[in-house]
Amino acid sequence: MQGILDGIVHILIQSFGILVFPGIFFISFLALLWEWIDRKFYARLQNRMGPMHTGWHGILQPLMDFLKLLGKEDLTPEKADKRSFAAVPFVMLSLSIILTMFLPIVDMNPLVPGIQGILSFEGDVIIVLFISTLMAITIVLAGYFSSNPFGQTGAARTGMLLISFEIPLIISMITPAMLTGSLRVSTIMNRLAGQAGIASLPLAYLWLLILPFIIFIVAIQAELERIPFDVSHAETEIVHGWQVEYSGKKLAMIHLAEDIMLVYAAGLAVTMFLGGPYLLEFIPLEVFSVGFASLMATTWVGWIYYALVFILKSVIVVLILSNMRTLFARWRIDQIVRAGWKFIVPLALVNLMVVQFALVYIFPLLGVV
Amino acid sequence: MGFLRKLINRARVKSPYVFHFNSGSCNGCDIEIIAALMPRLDLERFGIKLVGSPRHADVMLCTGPVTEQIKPRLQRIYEQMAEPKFVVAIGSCACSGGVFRGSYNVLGGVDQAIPVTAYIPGCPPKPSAITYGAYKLLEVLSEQLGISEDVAAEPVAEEQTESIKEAVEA
Ligand code: SF4
Repeated sequence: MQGILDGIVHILIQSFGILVFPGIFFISFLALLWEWIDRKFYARLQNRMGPMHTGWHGILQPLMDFLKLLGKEDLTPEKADKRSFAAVPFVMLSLSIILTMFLPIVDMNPLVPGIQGILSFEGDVIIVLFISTLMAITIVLAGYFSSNPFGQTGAARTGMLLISFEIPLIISMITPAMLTGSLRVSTIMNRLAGQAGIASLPLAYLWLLILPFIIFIVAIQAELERIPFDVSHAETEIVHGWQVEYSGKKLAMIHLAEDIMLVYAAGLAVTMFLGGPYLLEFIPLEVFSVGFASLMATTWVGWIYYALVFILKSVIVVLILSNMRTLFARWRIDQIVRAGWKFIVPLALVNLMVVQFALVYIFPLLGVV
Repeated sequence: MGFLRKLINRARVKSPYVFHFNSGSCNGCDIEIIAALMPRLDLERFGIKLVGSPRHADVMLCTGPVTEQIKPRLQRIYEQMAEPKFVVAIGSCACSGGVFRGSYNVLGGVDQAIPVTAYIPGCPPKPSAITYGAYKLLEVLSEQLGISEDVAAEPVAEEQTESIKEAVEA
């Protein structure tokens, strides 16, 4: 009897985790919040006010956009492949939600030391990269299924962008994996942060993370198709590219999926390079040593604390990304491909060699292990 | 269900996506529309966002007397927009034909081709007039949808309309 009851409680807690707190509801909330921050910061950098009259300083604006699109008529072009056309937004939304489930926000599995995401297993970095590539392929499919010349041009451009910037993205994520010797998102994060009883890395190693972080930010901006890499939905030349035929509920879903991808991108940067949801633990005081972490891991105060730190660090990344969006103009597709293959990919490869060289020759020589 | 309907109606007023269509304008009005989206009179304060595709848009901003050649395209693009949709005629040309009225190749006004919800006169209308027109359209919409008290009760918006009214009159 007791065993069954425990099982039911366990299932309830897990489904709460997946549906509400670090799961779908929380992620959608963050997605709408990030879009607001992005729009507001973008507007302020252009000396505008941004949304003002929807809630406090327009904080409800993304929600209102979403609701309005839900209430609009849903059109399907006559020539489009109807079923695939309708399926693509669902696939995009579910893939993006699955991606965010790999992010360690709060501890979902107390049996393993360190903070774990909802989905966490050995080798999940590969799955994350695979699904984020699949996202780009669904974008290409969205363009082709809409059977619109603009949509197909946008899809082809997304393909170009994909083959140029997927490679530096993957290479930049190899560096933290090499430093920690693990292919598990949570282990990489916990080792880099040196928390939860897991042996920490020497501080000298962290210098090697600066260059991959820069490459990662550039590549993720291309992955999210934001300015300067927004050739695939350039409004002024190919009227929103692959999104051109979508309206109503499907467009709402596509917008939500894009915002969730922003949450994922910022969260991945936080997890892989900025030490995840740890902040106070880095202060070398008695109060914040191992006991603090185990207390935080087991109580609900810890959930709030970790979520807040995660939000704080992600906001910093989102602000960096919006700053890039404001500072640059749109690049042409040939400029993007040239920049990708001539500068970013070689830089990533050189960085990989430097990291390997430092790990094998320089650090043992200096006595840092 | 009633609550959801009301929420979506409110959302409609709060986030109009606009789409800009040049139906034979001299480009004066188009530049003024862009000026209304610029820092001084930032229309994004009301949630107005410029989109590129008619499928995404709620409001179509038309400029120019409709020429015979562009009429079928205008009607087709109007039909491509998703319901509920509204049309705003910007500039004297779009309202009545303006200086081109009576010319052999123009219809004289957007309302000869498609139904129009709001007219903003001027040749070209000031950006402040466009902002005022957009605000009036939102007010009328919220009255139609039965949620007017929420929008009219915002003190900041009232002050802004006052100053804009003065600017228009001056
Ligand atoms: S109203 Fe004036 S500015 Fe506008 S399109 Fe007509 S002539 Fe040009």
